[in-house]
Order: sequence, then C-alpha cells, then structure tokens
Amino acid sequence: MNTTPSILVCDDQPILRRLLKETIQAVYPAGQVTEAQNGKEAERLFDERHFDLVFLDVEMPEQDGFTTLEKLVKAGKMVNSRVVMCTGLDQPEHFIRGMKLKADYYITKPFEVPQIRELLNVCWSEETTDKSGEPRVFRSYCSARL
Amino acid sequence: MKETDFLVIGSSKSEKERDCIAQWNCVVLEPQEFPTHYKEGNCRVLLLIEPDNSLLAEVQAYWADTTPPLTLIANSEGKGSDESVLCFRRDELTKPTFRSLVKGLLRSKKERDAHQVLARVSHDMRSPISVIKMACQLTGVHGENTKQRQRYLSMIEDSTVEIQSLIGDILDFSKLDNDTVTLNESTFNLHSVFNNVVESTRLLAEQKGLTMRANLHPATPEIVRGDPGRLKQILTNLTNNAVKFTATGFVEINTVPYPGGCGFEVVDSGIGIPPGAQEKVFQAYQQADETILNKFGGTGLGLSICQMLVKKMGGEISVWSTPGEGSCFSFSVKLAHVIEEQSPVQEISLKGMKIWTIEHPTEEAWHRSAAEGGFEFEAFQKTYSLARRAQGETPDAFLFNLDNGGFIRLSRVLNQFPEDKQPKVVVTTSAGQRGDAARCRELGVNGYLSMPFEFSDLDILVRLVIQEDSHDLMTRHTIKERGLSKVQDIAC
Repeated sequence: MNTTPSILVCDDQPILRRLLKETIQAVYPAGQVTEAQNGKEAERLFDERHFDLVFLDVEMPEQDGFTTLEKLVKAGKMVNSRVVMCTGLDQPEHFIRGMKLKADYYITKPFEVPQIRELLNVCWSEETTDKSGEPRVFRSYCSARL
Repeated sequence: MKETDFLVIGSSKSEKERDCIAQWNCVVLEPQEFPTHYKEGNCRVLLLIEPDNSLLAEVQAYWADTTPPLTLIANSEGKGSDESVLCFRRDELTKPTFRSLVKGLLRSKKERDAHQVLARVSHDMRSPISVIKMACQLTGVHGENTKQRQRYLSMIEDSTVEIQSLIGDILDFSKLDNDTVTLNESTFNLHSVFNNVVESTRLLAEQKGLTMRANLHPATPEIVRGDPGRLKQILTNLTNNAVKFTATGFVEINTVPYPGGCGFEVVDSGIGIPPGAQEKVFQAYQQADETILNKFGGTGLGLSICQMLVKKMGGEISVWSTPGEGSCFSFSVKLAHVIEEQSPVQEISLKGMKIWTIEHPTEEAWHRSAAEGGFEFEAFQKTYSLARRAQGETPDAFLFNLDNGGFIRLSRVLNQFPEDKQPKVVVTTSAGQRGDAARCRELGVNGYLSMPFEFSDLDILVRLVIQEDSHDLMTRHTIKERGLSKVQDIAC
C-alpha cells in the first residue's frame, strides 16, 4: 500500500461515516477518505479508482455489503484491497458469510476509536502479506463476540 | 428411550466435533441405524454430520412425511441457511460457532422469535451506541476545538434520542404482544392531529427535497372520540417511513372518511417493496428477511406496532406497492364522530368578568384571551398592590401560582378579599405534592392544576369554577371526566 492510503467508508448512516472518517484521519492525516452511502455507490467508486482499504457496512439500502463484496471480488477489483466488514450483525451465520466472501476483518458495532486505530495499524503493518491466506484478525474479532 | 437432545448420525471422526456435541445428551448412530431408531418425539433435533449425498436425500425424504422438529448440520458445500437446514463446510465450523448454532436450534419456536426480536433490537442499538462511543472518544482527540466538541455533543444527543425511540418501540411491542395496552380514549380534534403530522412530515420531506401533499377530505369529521396519541403514532410512523424510503418525488397523506371511522393513506414515490415482501412488512423481525430489513432498517418494529395498534383501534392496515415506483400504506380506525360536542364551557362567556393574578406564567395568554373574550385580566406584581385594589373591588376569579410563595402566601392574599366576597380561586403548581388537595379545600380553593398543562385546560378550569357554584375542588380529572380537555395525550 502507498504511503498515502486511499480508504473507502461505506455505511448508510452519515454520522457513522463521518465519525469513521474522522477516526481514520486522526491516525493518518494524509489518508484520503472517500464516503459511499450504499453498496451501489461503493461499486461505482471502485469502477473509477482503487482503494487500499474498505470499511463496508452490511445492512444498507439499495445493495447490502455482502452482495457488494461478492460483486467486487467477482469483478477482480479486490485483489489489492483489504475489506473490513463493520456491522451490527453478530450471528455466526453472518461471520461465516463474511469469511466465505474472504473479507479480511469483521468487526461488530458498537465499535470504538481505539479498535479502529488498532485495525488500521494492523492493516498497514501487514501490507506485504498476500491475500490468499486465512483471514487474519478475523477469528480473534469474531469469536470473541460469540 | 430416555430423552435425548440429538440423534447423531454418522459418528464424527473429528475430535473437535465430538467435543462439541459431548455436552448434549446424544445418541450416536450409524447411518443405517437411523430408520429403526428414529421415532417421532423421541428427540428434538437430529444432527447429521458428514452425510453422503444419497443418505441426505433419503433422510430428508423421511422427514417430509413425519414433520419432526429436525435440523440438519451437514458437512457439505451447500450454501446459506434456512429454518431447518444449515449447511457448513467442516473447516469453517469453529467450536464457538457450532455451539451457538446448536443452542439456537434447540430453542422452541417462541423462544426463537423472542430471541430474534431481541437480537434485532440490540443490533439496532449498536449504531447509535457506536456514534456515542466514537463521538466521546474523538472529543478527547479534538477536545480543544469548541466547535468540534459541540458537533460531537449534538451527535451524542441525536443518538440518545434514537435509542430512546428504540426503547419506546420495544416497550410498545412487548405490551401489544402481551395485549396489555389500553387505549387512552378522549374527545379530540382529528383535523389538528392530521395537520400536526402533516407539518412535522413536511419539515422532514422538504429537507430531502421532496414534495409534500396533504388532502384532508372535506367530509372528515372534526371532533371525534378515540386515542389521539396512538393515532398520531401510527401516522407518524408511516409518514417517516415514506420520507425515509423516498429519494425523489413526493410524499402524500390523505384522509378517507367513512361512517364510524376514518381511513388514512400514506403514499410515496419511493423504492417500493417487492410483491413477495409486502405481506411480511407488518410482521415483527421474526419473519422479515434481510432484504426487507435492509430497506426498512431503523427500528424494524415500527410497522408491526402500527398493525397491532390499528387492530386494537378496530381497523385494518394494508400496503400496495410497485418496486421502483412507490408504496401506499393505508389503514382505517374506528373513531366515533362526536356531533357538535362543542364543549359547553366554551359557551360560558367570561365577558365583563374580572380575573386577577399575581405573577403567573400564563399572563400573556390571558391578556390575549381577555382582549378576545371581552373580560378584564389583571396581573399584580406584589401582594400589597393587589391588597390595595381589593379594598374597593373583588374579581370573579383569582389565579395563583403556588410556586410563588406556596399556600402561606395564598392564604395571606385571600385574606385581602372581604370574607363575604371571596373570588373563585384557581391554583397552579409545578411541584404538586401529596396533601395539596386537602390544603386547597381548607383555603376554599376551587380549582387545582399541576404542570405541565396546556393553557386551554387552565382556561376551561377557570370557566368551570366561575360557572359552577360547587365547593368541590376541580382538577385535571374534572376536565377529563367531562371530556372537555382539548389536550392530546402526552403520547403524542
């Protein structure tokens, strides 16, 4: 990933989007953060450019996060991008769905600033690892909630 | 056979899975033993691990005839999950996941529904809680910036409002579900409730750039009997949904009066609801699939509360919708038309009367009302200035706010009036206390009203005490009992 990471925050709630953006910018003042209010918009933005990291909500109008991720993966757009599913859905079937779609991380609401900060640090420190392996922080984040 | 939790078919070779099932009461069978062992009712759940496909089909065929409470967890490539079949690839099945799934399957239908409602609600609370947490934490980061801090504070406030409304929904839902809701019937002005909802919706709609239309059918009765708070709740819920799910176009509210009641329509040009999902939107979380939840996010209980309330109010609710074009929610409620029940007190004219007070919070409203109604209203600043006037004349009514000196001052003021020419006395207070009524009676007070109240209620009370030559203490209950209050229920 570049030194000026480009990050997409996709959530249907403007306030939450805003707070995520501000949290990211507090960690990476140089980071370019783009907002999308639903999956369709995220897909469109991916057509235009590349993002290093995507914070993807699941329950959104127009197109949910899982469908969006599935489509983006199929279109080969996610090869060099990391995905953080961030959602209020905490049932096992949801985690499993996220795992199947090869999301990198799955964090459940309510999230906190230190958690996002840690996640960003982990993402960036792992920049050389390839995407083929097991989801990394996934297990520790999700099973803790079960 | 003693009660078992599961029959396990195809004994597991994996230690992890054996470990997982060890905590339940299980009978492990080889596949061929299944037909002889399985009898309806002797186990709650069948857990099937690593079946080969032909066996799977065979066993499933067997279930089809017996409709047992069976659930399958299979080590297969099968995708997704539904009520009775959950498919997994073994390598994805972690121990906690497995345990949580099986626990879920062991729940009865009712438990499952309740669990799902809870899960949904706690899910809905997560977003506002996230906002509160993050806003607090970011206040620490940008704390020195006052403007920023204000912004975070208002985010926190908005989120608490959201949580509050969720809690209101859960309470409503559980009360309605247990049928412990009682309607608060009163005589009210249907037109003002309607206009009230229209105005608040107009604000929301205009913020989104939508056109707001409202058609109050000319035959819509004005004064009716029913529960105005609940009616408003239903209307507001539907109109808020309409605004929420409409990106461009309009939102429209209409009334469709009919004998003995009134119908309402909330129409929008929003995203619409697919035909298969339309009948489900009124059901609480348990039935709704994720697409509906995605579209109808928010509380998720709103429409089912509406439906229960409408039923309670003797009506029906339904929806027509074309995806991409819009939706129309319509409902009816029974509302007895109160014919010309102009409250008789309205007719008690105060013309030529004198009403005095000492520093009362409603002074301004009284001055306006006095100008319109042709009566005299005077507000004194001090007891002595009133005392001076009281030597020459006595008002018809005296209004006193107990917050300014309590009963002690009141009794001093009343002593200023000649004993044979005592005015009718109405007192108000912001801190009503036990024993107030007894003290009121001692002092010969005629009316008592504790805050919060609407000016119209105070006005009615004053008119009532002037009109009636009774020594009974009149209170809010008197107004309510006589169906005179114009004030809508607090639940509004």
